[in-house]
Amino acid sequence: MSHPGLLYDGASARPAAVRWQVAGGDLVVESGAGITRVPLADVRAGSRVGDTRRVLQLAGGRQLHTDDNDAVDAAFPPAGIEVLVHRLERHALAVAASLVLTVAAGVLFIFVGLPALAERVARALPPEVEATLGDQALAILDRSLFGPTALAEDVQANLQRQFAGFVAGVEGGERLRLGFRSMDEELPNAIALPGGLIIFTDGLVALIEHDEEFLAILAHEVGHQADRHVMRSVLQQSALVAITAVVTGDVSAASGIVTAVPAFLLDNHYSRTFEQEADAYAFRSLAERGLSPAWFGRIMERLARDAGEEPAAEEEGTVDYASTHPVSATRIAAAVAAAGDEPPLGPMIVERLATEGEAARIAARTDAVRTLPQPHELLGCWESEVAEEGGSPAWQERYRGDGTFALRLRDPDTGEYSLHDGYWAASGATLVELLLYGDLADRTANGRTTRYEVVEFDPRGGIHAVASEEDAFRARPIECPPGL
Amino acid sequence: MDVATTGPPMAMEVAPAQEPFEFRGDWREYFRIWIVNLALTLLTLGVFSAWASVRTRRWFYGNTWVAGAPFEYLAEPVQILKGRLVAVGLLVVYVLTEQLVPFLAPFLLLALSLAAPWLVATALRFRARYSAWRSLNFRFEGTDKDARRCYFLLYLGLLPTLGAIYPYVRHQQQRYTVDGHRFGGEAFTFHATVGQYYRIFGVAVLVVVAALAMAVGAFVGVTALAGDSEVLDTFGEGTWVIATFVILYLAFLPAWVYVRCRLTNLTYDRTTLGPHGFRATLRFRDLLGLYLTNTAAVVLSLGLLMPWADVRMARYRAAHLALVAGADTQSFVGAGGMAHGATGGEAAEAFDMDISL
Repeated sequence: MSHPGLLYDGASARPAAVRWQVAGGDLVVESGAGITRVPLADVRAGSRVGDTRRVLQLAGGRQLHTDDNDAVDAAFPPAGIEVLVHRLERHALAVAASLVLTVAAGVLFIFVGLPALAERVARALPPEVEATLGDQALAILDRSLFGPTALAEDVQANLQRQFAGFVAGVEGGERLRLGFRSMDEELPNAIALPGGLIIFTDGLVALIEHDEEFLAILAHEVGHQADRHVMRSVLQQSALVAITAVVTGDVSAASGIVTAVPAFLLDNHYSRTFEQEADAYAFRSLAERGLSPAWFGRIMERLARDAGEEPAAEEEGTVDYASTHPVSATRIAAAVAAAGDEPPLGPMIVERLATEGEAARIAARTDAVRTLPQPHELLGCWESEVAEEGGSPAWQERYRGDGTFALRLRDPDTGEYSLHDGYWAASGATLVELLLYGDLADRTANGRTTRYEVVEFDPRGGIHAVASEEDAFRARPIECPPGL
Repeated sequence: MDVATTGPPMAMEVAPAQEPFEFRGDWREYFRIWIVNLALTLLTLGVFSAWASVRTRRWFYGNTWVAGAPFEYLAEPVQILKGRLVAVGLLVVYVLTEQLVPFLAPFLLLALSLAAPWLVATALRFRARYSAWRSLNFRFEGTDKDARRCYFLLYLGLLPTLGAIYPYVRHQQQRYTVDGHRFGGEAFTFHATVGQYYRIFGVAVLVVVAALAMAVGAFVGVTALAGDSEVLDTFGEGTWVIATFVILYLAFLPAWVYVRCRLTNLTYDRTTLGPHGFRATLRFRDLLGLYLTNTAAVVLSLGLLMPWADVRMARYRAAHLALVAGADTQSFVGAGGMAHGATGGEAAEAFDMDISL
């Protein structure tokens, strides 16, 4: 059974019409001029692609062109990769499997594989690489967006102290640094740079009203640093660029927007994922330090209002697929949810500087006697007894309006005073639980009775009603000693 | 043996005056090739992409017919793979430089621009060498020196003239490409004039202005109608970014399609190959419709309809191209071929500098 073909001599475009077949280990080509025999070993058959015309290379530049692919396949069994590929292309099942595999692989890679890979690489990178990147980024930012900070020295010092206290408990915290910059129009912003630098803008410091809020945002930024988000983001986005270039190199029947929009959406998806991770890290590390994650929600709320948004507790139909951050309402809700049943407060035993007309300075937790802040109002004295060993005493306070309070403790044995402070923010008549740390807890963990003198001051002149009602440690009001 | 008893010979028609091109591929066959290519490329982490690329080109070439015979693509996958590895290496170096040592990036870009003419010329040589029709290979004999002029020096003049010489630059590049090609003992010659290029681009500028005006007008109108409604607030800022993308795309697409359409027709109509000529009859409205529907289909199907779109475009383009035979189309004669490495070709394509006629 012979097949039609065209025989080219390699020197012209004019073929001879021939018939060919395989017989006796030879390719037998028969034309008007006669019969030629070529040993099969001397014939090179091209691989099959669909049903396109097949070319058999003979010696001396001659070529036999034929449309009879099946016959060629029978005579020249395909070898190597081409066998597999061609079989796969023919089998409907294989095609379907390819389809599923491709889609699944694509989805998995984008949402799981690439991020995982980027994380591995980011963690393996030496710190010098990150530091270089961070320095470069800062240089660019300083040239374009940032100006030198205008914050007062003491404000900076205070924040640095709080920062130091916070990162002391963070693994790898020694490479973290805090910096300040100003932005146009006093824009509030905080940014984590590779290499460990965290920048707060003057506008953000101005919006912060409580140290807990500063720590909340700091925790979020430390979250970016601890999990190396910036490095991972750089790696993921670079990889996306490269892959897009390679995969879509042949896109000509559609156009550039086909790749631009998905790339944009993917960038934002990755970015939102990192922001969510940083938020979660912030909630955890706030809770570890006895601070309520709700503080994060509070500052987010204020930031959103400052930006002109109205982040109601539930916003319907808000679309965030195209943003780099999750929508504010979502993040605030997440913060409140993370706070759980915990009231959104806790004391900060820190040195806090006065702002905006406040003249008072609250001393850090020490054993030394400090000056009480002015003006202040003594609310009363309570005596308490801790019910169980190791328990922390707690006060329940009811409050109205913004304010702070101070707790001066007198050690009954030595007679020495220590001053502790805390504050709460206004959000209606909510019960606030106050937890005291350090010296106070030490002194009261052993079941001894300690006398508390509660002193309250409110530099803003707010109205406060303070009462204690915690049965657990049975504090009872007592007559204040004279001379307070 | 008697021809009559063993079946009819393969058809060899005598060529009439106009030989239309024809694309005979079925998109369903290509879909199978395409999807298997993609799956295997993914499985082999990209190594198979060289084979995939070769198979794709062989399928498209092999299904494009003129004057009774199809085209052939002859490159070997291994050559392509080597070229791809080099190209990927360059890409990685560039991206990393951009991120880690940004001040070096412009220098790297400059170095790449200086190398670009060589890459272009090598890519053209590679593609020509491995393309064939009726067993004869094409060749490209444009010099690197001429490439440097068209693809680097002339670009330097764009800024001082605020882009006014762009049509001239494009004309020179196309002439370089066409005049450099050879086939079957004959040379291609480019006869279009610079004036014709200016006329085309001039109209394109008007089209862009008109389209932009309409797009801006529509945008303003929509915003005015929506006013302070909550509809706008529902969508974050990001959606407006996408909307801007889409609007700009719609504004520039007609002009881009117009230029492509007219330039393709002009190029083919004014190109000769020895005694032969060509005739292209692409229509602007057809092409625009094709691009829009193709893009929509590809986006909506998340890329799965790309084979369908590719075949559709190939079929249209072939259907509107013809060879005007001034002599027997089988009278071409072969010459010795030149061996050329794939590196230039693949590196050029990875950076999307592929030149298509």
